[in-house]
Amino acid sequence: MNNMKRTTLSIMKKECRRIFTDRRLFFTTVILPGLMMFILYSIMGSFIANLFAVDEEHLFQVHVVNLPNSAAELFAPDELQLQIIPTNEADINEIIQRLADRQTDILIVFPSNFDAEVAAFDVATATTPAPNVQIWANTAHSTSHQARHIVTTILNDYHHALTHRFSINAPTEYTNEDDFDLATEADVFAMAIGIMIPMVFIIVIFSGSQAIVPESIAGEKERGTLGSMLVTPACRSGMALGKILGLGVFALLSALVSMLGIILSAPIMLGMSASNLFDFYSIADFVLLLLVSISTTLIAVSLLSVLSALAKSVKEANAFAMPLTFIIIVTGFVGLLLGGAPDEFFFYLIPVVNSALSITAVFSFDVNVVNVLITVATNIAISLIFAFVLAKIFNSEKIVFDK
Amino acid sequence: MDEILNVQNLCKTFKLSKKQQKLKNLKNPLLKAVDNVSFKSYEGEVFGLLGPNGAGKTTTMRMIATLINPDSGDATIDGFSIRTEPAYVRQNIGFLTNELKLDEYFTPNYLFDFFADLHGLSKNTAAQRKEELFTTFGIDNFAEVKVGSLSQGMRQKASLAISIVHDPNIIIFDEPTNGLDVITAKVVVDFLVSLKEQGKSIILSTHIFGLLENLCDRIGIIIDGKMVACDTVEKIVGEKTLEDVFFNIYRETTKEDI
Repeated sequence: MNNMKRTTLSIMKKECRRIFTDRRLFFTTVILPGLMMFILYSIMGSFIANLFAVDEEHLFQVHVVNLPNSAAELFAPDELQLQIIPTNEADINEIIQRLADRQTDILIVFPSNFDAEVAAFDVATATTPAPNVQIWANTAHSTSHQARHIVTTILNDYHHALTHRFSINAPTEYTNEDDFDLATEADVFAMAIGIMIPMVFIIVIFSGSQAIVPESIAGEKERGTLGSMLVTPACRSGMALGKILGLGVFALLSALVSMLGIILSAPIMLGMSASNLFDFYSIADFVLLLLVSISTTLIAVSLLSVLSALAKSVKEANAFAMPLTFIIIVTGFVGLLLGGAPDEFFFYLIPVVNSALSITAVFSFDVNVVNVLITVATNIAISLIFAFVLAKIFNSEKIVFDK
Repeated sequence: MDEILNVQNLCKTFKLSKKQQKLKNLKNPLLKAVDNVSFKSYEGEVFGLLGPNGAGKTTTMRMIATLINPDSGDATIDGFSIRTEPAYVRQNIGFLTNELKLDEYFTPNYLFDFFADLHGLSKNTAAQRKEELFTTFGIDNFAEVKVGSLSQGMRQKASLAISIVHDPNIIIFDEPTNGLDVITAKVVVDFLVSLKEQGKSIILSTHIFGLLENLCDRIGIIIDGKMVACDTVEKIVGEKTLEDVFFNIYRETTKEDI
């Protein structure tokens, strides 16, 4: 037992020293992915928000052909910031060209006798075609895109008003239309992030592990340094545990930094503040997330360690890990496929799947602590089995001399 | 003299891949690398294993060092069986081969402490051994330089010091000068001589006839996995040179005309 403890600590310290004192490896594998994810997602959020952003003072140029009296007042309110420009039918082509050239915002073409045609149109029989209103815009142009949205909304409302028999969510003295949507900001955040996070989370853990495990195990075997350790009386189980724990510390750190990058950038991407995160989730949620992270990292590191020990070279170890990556990506979507985190405990006995479901549960405010604990216990138990297998492989002559 | 190593009927068969079969031009995928090898070595003695490439020397050494398991037979080192007490055997041997290397990322200083730890040495004992061995090999000058930045000679000195960090009773050298330049090879040979002077038991495999003749007390000749001769250097060599004796035995055993 003393030998095992001593060996585990020695190997663990060596692995940590190897990785943590290599500044280049530490930066590229721990700091850079997290930083890149934060920057990337923040930029994506800002980019998407800015893509169709319009200057608040902008007055939309709305060219209208045959503006009917019935619709004129719909475009009138000042807050819509619409500059109505009456236009002749003869100028339609010129305006369309100007729209294509991004020189104006929108063109609406009403039939010449729109009001009369609307009055004559029988919805029930529809013997003649309904009067057609053309809206010309250039949606690649941000102001035109925005103008089209405003005008389409106005005309759709007008269209419904002409035929309406009942109202949906009509504003009252105490409510407006938005009050009928009960989703909180936290719910919106959870829905958006709940789809993305489990997959990204599992991928960052496995990719972080893959960056170091094949090099540490297959690499040591390839270079002959593992054999040097195997001729010592060091306990094989201790060596396996030391490797898994030492590499696990690094892989976990790498995964947590990447996760932090994603979690902090997610509110920005959704147009919220990063501090919202701490309003949405409690310390207990983060603790559960950490436990799932640790146990998932152990699974990733121990599984990749076994594959690496069976491989003849780092290259072969990486090739062995490739199919695993595909499985892991699919596993990340399991929460989405099941429509959220199920309550049945047996889902949490399946390694990696249980991690994805537990993370989904935490982020969607649907956490069942027992299921998360089952996840952690299952993952640790499976990791110990892999550690046992690794120790057996270390005892096999193939590990050193099968080249 | 007390018996320190007793090898009894060691056998090892490898299953060859199709590629290996083609390379060796063999129809049978099973290759008997070591076939009933037995020999003894005594305390303070240098025992040399001689044989052509692929004769089974390295496989025999690896079995004695507990790196691979024999199919049958056994060997005891200081009374400990390689089959049933491998951890005790490892505590009592030092093993050096060019195939096992030091991690290039670390310094000799760190690696010495690391291996001392794996051998279960106390901090004080490890520090004393380090001072002693680093002075002997002149490692102090480059103790804090990463192995990857050291010359081949410096690396070899570090490897030698680390292989005997635990002051083993018996030291196994598997072709320790293979692939080394003459300067580095001399470091190894000087080290072997100093170990012999210290009265250490050494098992050595090498192709260098001169080294075996000058250093060894007894020699075993292995050809095609079989121990074909094993005795004191004087009895094996007689009036001839070891080289002549070896080639005569080789011709008789393999019926090859070389």
